[in-house]
Amino acid sequence: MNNNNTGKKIIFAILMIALVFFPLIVGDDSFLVYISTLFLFYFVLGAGLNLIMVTGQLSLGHAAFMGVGAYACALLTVKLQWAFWPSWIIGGALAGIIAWVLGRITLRIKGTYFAILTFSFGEIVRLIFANVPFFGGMNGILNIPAPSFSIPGLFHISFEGKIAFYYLVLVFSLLCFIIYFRIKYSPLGQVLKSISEADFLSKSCGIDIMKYKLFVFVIASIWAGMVGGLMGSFITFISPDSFTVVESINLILINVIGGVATISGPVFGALFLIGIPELIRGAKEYQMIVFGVAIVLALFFLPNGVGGLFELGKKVKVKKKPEH
Amino acid sequence: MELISQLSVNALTLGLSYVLMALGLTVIFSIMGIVNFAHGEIYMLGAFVLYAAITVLHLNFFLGLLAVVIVVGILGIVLERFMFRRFSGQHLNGLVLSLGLSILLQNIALIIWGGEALSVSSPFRGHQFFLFGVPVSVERMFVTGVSIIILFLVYFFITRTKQGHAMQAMSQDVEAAALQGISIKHIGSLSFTLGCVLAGVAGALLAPIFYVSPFIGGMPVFKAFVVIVLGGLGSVFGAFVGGILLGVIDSVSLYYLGTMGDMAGFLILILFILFKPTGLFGYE
Repeated sequence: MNNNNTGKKIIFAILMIALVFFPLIVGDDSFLVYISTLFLFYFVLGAGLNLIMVTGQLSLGHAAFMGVGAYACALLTVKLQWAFWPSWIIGGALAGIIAWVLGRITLRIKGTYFAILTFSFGEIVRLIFANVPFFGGMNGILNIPAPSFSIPGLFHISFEGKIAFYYLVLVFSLLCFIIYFRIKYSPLGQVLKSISEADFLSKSCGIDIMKYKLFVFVIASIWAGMVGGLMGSFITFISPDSFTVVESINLILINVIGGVATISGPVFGALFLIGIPELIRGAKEYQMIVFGVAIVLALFFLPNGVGGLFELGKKVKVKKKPEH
Repeated sequence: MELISQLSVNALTLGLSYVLMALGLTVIFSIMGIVNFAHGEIYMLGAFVLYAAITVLHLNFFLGLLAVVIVVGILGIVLERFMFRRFSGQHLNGLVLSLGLSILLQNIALIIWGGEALSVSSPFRGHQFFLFGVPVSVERMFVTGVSIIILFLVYFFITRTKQGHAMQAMSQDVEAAALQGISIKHIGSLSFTLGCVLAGVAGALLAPIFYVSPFIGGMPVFKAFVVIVLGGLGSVFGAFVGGILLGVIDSVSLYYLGTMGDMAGFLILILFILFKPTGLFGYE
C-alpha cells in the first residue's frame, strides 16, 4: 500500500482544496453548499459507526445518539436561551455519557443480540422524545437559532449564512476525520480489526477488548451527538422522526456501500447516501428502492464496498461460503 | 369485568398473531442462523395479497387466504434460493441483507399500492356473540381459531414428520445433520418458506382487524423479536407462551399508557437479553 502513497496524498490535497474553495465560487444561496454540508454530516456519522462496525458490532440505534445531542442542544438554546457552543458541547458529552453507560452493559453481547438491543434502545429513546411533552411531542422543537461567535469589541461572526455554516461544519468534520484516520491507520486500528476477526485470540493475547470496544463506541456517540446538535441548528427544527431506525439504517448503508474495512469507506458511502437522491430527484419514490438494491448488490458483489476497489487493489476476492 | 374480558380477548388475538410471526422468525433463525428483518415486510405483503385478491380478483375471503399462502410461499422459495442461501450462517451479513430487502419490499409496496391506509373487508365484519354476557367479535374469534389450528399443524409437522425431524436436527448441528444424509439445501428452503408463509398468513388474518399499508410490517417483526427472546430462541413452546404473554402485556400497557405502551416490549427485550438470554424456555 505504501508505493502509491504520493498519489493518494495528491488526491487528498485536491479534494481538500475543492472542499475549501468551491463555496466561494458557487455563492451563498447555492444548493450545492447545502448538500455538501449534509454530506459532511453524514461522513462524520458514517465514520463513527465505521469504528464500531470494525469491531464486529452492528448498532441499529446509532441515530438515538444524534437525537440525544440534538435535543440537548436545542432545548438549552431554545428554552434556556443558552449560547450555542456550551449547549453543543453538553449535547455531545451527554451522548457520550449515555453511550458509556449503555456500552458498559451491552458491549459484551455480540452479533444479532447486540443489533436487537441497540434497536430497542433507539426505539425507547424515540418513544420518549415523541411522548414526553417536555420534548415537544411529535412536533419537536422549532426555531433553533444559528450559532454565532463574538469577542466583545473585537469581532463577531454569525453562522446564519449557508457558507459560514458550511465552513463551521468543514472544520468540525476535518477534526473528526483526523481522529478517525489516526485510529484506523495505527496499531489501534489493527487491534480493533482483531476484535472482530478473532476476539478470543485477541483476549488471550492480553488485549482488553472491552476497553477498546467501549472507547470507539463512546467516540462514535459523541460525534453523533455533536452532529445532531449542528444539524438541528442547520435545519432549524428537530422532531422525533429525524432519529428513527431508518436513520440508523442509513448510517449502516453508508458503511456497507463504502466498505467497513477501508479508510475511505465513509466518504464513498456518504457521497452515495446524499448523491443518489439528487441524481434521481425526478423519481423520488424510487430513492429507497435504489438504496435497498444497493445494499443487496454490495453484499453480493462488493464485500469490501466501493472503498475496497480503491484501497485493497487486487486483493479483493469474493469469499465463498464454505460448502456444507 | 367487561374491561377485563375485553382486554383478554384482545390479548389472545394479538398474542396469537405474535406467536405466528415469532414462530416463523425462530424457525428461520435456528435453521439458517439469520435474523430476518424483512419478516415484517412478508407480513405486510401477506395483507396486501389478500387485499389485491379481494378487490382486484374478486375472490372471496377464504380463497384470498389461500392465494396469500401460495404467493408468499413462492416469494419465500425465491428469496431463499437467490438471496439468503448465500448468507446462511453469516449472522451479520444476513442481517444487513434482510435490512436491504426490507427497505426494497416496503418501497415496492409503496409504489404499487400507495401510502394511505386501506381496509380489507371480511365476511365476519360487525358480527358478534355473547360469551358469559360479554360481547366478543366473531372476526377476532376467527383469527384466534385459525391461528390455533395453524400452530397445532406446525407443531405436528416439526415433531411428527420426517421433514420436521430433519429441521430439528439441522437446527442443532448443520454438519452432523448433513452427515446423516439430510439435504441441507432442501430443508433450508423448506424452513424459510414455512417461516414466510406463517408471517404472510399472520398479516392476512390481521388485515381486516387493523388496516393495510406498506408500513405495517415494522411493529410485528419487533414484537416477534421480543417473543423469541422472551420464550427462548429455537423453542416452539417458548414462542407460544412468550407470544401470549406479550399479547397480555401489550393490551394492558396499550390501554393504560397509549403509544408509550410499546416501550414495555422493548424494555422486556433489553432486560431479557442482558440477564436471561436463554429466555424462559430456551436452552444454551
